[in-house]
Amino acid sequence: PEKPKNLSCIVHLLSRYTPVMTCTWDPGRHTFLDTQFRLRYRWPEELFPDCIPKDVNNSCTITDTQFFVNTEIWVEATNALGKAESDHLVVDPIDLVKPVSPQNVSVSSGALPTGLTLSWQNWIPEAMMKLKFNIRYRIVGDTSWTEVPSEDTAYPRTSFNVQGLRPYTEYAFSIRCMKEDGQGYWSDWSEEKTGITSE
Amino acid sequence: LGAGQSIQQTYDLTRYLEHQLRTLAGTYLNYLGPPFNEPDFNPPRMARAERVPSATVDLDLWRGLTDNARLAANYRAYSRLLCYLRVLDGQVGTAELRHRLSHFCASLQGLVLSIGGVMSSLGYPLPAGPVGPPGPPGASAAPNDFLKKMDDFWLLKELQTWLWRSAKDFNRLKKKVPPAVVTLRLEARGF
Repeated sequence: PEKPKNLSCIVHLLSRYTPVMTCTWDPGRHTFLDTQFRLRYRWPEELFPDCIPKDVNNSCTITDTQFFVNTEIWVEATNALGKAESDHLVVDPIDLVKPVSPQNVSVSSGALPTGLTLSWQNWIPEAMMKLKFNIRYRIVGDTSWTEVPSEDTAYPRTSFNVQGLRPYTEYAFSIRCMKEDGQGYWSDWSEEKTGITSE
Repeated sequence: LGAGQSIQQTYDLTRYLEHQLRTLAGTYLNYLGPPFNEPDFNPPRMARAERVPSATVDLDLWRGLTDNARLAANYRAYSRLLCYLRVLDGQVGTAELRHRLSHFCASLQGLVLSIGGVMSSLGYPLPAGPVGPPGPPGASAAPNDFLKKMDDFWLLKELQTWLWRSAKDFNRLKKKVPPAVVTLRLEARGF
């Protein structure tokens, strides 16, 4: 069989302590031979049960992923003519996480008529992962967004004061998060929440 | 992994386990029911509980140990605690709790592996001989249900204290071992 290529993985958190890792790969050209694929992963002294793809030949989801231990991951393809292995990934799954977007976003007016305060809850415990954020906002009715400079939101927090807004104007806000050191993936943008600056 | 990275990863894992255990222990003690889930329940440590590695140590003595001896003590303790925890994992009645316990057991196994990785990266040998419990965990099974629950209570209590102290151990060790970059620069200048 052809060597499987472009192996990449992403970790989602189904619940706070249920990280699942989905790996995808390019299975190569169709060989008209029955070819079996297996996603294999191990620690230095522990080989875990193989992940056997269901109904597809280019993806598999590992249901119990462990953080903070470097894990070796690869794909094995087998058919009547022999066996081929993808390149091996050696990675700490904590660096592959796509976090859940910030929750319970709320907007409140500040002391100044040109500022609004955005607050939210981080779904991921800090003991698991420190986060950084992107915040964007627009005047309700406009289509173009303005983004808060990323360096201003580059560390763990649960609120932010947006300044330089127009008085007595309704704004929509959205926020996303990612691992603080830039490893992994951005979360989806949170649901939009609106607020009005005071007069 | 360089020693610095290995220690940082082990420290992160210890803190993650400590965080997980905080909620997991609460859920498990509720599963055991009263008096075990009552906040002020503080029974005397019984002879039976001696099988579980006690986390109660003389802090001056503990700090006076060499890094090697302290890492080895951590390695042995978590290897034994893992064996006992696996017995717990196999007996729990609810699927959710069983899932969380088995996830935690795998994480704890990762910690034993990580501590071994730190020791190797610092050039220390792993503790020789069996590091599991003296006899199979079931060998001295509790004679009744209450004592069985008491065993579980003490296992979780000791584990929480071990993790709390290990996080401090690795945080201190982290500061003693320079990150790989610094080491490389020193070597480049012929130090």
